[in-house]
Amino acid sequence: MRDAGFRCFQAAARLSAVLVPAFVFILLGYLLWRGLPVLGTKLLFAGVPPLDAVSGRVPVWDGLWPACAGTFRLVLLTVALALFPGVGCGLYLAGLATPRQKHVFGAAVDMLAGMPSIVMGLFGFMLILFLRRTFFPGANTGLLLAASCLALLVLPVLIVSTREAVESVPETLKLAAAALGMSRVQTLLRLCLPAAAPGISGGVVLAVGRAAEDTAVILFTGVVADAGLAAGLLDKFEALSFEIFYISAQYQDQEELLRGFGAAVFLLLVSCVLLLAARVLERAFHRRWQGKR
Amino acid sequence: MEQMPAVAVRRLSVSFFGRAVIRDVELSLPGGGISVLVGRSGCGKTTLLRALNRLNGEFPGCRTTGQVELFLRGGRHVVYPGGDQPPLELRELRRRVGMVFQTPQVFPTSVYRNMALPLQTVADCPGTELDGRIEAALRQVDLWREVHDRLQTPAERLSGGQQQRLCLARALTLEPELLLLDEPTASLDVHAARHVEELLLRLVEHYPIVMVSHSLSQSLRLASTLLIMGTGGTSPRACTPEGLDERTLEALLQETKEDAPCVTR
Amino acid sequence: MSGGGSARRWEAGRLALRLALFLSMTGIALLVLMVVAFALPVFSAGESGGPFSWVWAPAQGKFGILPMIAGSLILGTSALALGWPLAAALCCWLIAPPPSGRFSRLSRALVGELVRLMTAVPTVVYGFTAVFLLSPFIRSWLGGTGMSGLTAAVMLGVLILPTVVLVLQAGLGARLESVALSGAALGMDRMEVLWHVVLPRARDTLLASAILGFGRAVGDTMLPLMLAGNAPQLPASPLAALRTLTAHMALVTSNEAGSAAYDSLFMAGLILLTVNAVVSLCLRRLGGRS
Repeated sequence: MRDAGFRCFQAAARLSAVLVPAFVFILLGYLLWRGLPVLGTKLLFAGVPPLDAVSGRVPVWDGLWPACAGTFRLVLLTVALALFPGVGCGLYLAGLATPRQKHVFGAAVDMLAGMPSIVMGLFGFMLILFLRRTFFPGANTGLLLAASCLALLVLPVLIVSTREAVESVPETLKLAAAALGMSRVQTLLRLCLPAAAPGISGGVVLAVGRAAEDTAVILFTGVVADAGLAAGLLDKFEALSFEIFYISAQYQDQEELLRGFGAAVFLLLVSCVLLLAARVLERAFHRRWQGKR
Repeated sequence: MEQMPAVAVRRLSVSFFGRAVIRDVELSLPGGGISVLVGRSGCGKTTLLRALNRLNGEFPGCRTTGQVELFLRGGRHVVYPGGDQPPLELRELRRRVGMVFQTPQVFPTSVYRNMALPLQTVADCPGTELDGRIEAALRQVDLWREVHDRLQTPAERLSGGQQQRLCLARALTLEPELLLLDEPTASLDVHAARHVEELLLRLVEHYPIVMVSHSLSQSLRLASTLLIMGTGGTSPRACTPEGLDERTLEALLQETKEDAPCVTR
Repeated sequence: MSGGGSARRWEAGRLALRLALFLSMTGIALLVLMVVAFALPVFSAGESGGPFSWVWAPAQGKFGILPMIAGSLILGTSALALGWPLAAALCCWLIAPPPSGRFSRLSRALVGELVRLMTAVPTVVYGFTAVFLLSPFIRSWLGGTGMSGLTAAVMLGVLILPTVVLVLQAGLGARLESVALSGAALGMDRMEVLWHVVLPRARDTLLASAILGFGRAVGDTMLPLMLAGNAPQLPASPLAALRTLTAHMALVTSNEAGSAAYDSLFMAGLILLTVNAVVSLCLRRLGGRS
């Protein structure tokens, strides 16, 4: 049984188990080594008193605060836009759709899920070009447009996680609801939706993570390096991910470079925390249905 | 005992994806007492039971032909042939025909919500009457004393027997006129099962009951009418339990074994 | 009967779900329609210097994007060549621990966590780190500017690695579980069962993970943009700069304005859309079969 092919395979498996963690540790270790010491209120506010900065009374020029606030607003707006269509569509596909609808719409959602994010950005860009040529010659890129495109990006995350969560509610429970005379919609909204809530919220957290880290979409839809705190929905804005990209290409001095490292570490930590939160929620959900065994 | 039937079934056949589970069943059930369906597993007892509240339609690929009529307090109701009945009718049918499953199907919410949910969504019960009806139903199944001080705890924390009685109470809040029970004690321990049996003997004063049972001794204890189903989903044979013991019943079950292949689902 | 009011209320619930479905599907349809509608006129233009030529020189009126298509293909393939074997080997290591040993179990749990954590690392963070770590490393050890196809390919390999591992784990893990016990009865350990029994029959899963990885590598924007050097040329060596479609799109919007430059942008968008559609179609086929 022990032929050369198998031995090579075994060696490759062991090698990869050393190589991959080593490479990731070197990459992220280097990042943390440079970035962690910079983290602090000075990185965020650059000496401006935090209260003044947060309330917008004093503009912050050399800190990450405007970018953080921009990303925060962007993510909030994105989730607000995507939540209803995403969760509703997931519920529909899980509970009301015919097999044919499931097949067709499921394929569309799969396609959207794999779509490169830059295509969503391009879509937003085209939308503005289209509006300029037709109804609104003054249309321009801004926060709302970016959030709409990001909403399209995170839509499949929400749809898929909602659908899976609702479908994992035991069939027998749905049957019991039917035997009581509850209609499908009632069962979906009153029984499955509350029961699947932890799973769905896991999906929402994942969606927040996707929206916060993405750079390609906002590149097309109105992000700039020095907008300050965006005033309105149609204004240009700053974002953390773009700030990192911008600094890597355009940094002027060591201080700005360190700010880039700080921003990268900050975004990394936020993403990891979001992922962990999503996993905790999802695990709690699965324990609820499968833990009894 | 009343002679008026509660259920009349004529030439009922149910198939899933073209595979017949029960065929040409003729059946008439009395309007009082407990009718117990016995038979080997896979002979179509559950499918027959579920035909009475059209629950088979919840599964894909189901086709039902023949007639099912219920004679309830409100008069005669045609269950089949149904065609595409509007959902309100289906809802009304299921409200009037309560059902309890083999394993307790409590919803993953509080005890109170378990009771309130069907009342609100199916019976359109006004909020002011909610508490009273919930208490009444819980008292009917001897559960009120045990849970009245923890109505807001998750229903899953109750013991198996309590959960099953909760499911029974949940069906009873809707004021059904017929109860369908699918092996209601199969997943319970002896003690809890006895408790449910006692309840059923009390409830039968108010509701006609049709139940499926795997336990021959239980069937003999509870049944006012025994329905012995043969393999292959053919019409069950009705007989009275008087003078039967477990051994003769077992022999009767053996007798009904026909050449028809056993259909399992 | 009772309950007309509540029936209407639930009818509203059904309508709301329909509306949500409609909104989602309209979004998808609008996206596809918009990209196709903007790109189609470019086909009919057909003048020289259009998108389907090999030279990108906006100042001279030449807007060819063939080098970028080649760049995307080269980078996607090489990222797959670097990342996929590593991911497949790692996945096998993860799902086939030796029969005993606390250390081996602990190390697998840790590496498994690490792989899952890798899915959360933002691409721009990978890019940023590589600009200041990998790129100088390549410059000093292998020569060139450090901003090269190789740099981007390595990082893209790292980017797709967790995706591939997780897909393989889901596919191979279940199959291994089902035969591991009977294999053990024959005296084979899990690794042997994996190599001799599971892998030879797992062509679809392996293929699906590779296609998925390729799709992700081709679709990524930030790593090529930050690391590949972005020269619109056919790279002569792994250390030469190249430009991908995605990076090209990002550069055009920030630098050039003008209809001919935009035409190339729309065309690049359509190509990416098509590649992705083909990828997801293939995945659906493979998923449906297995």
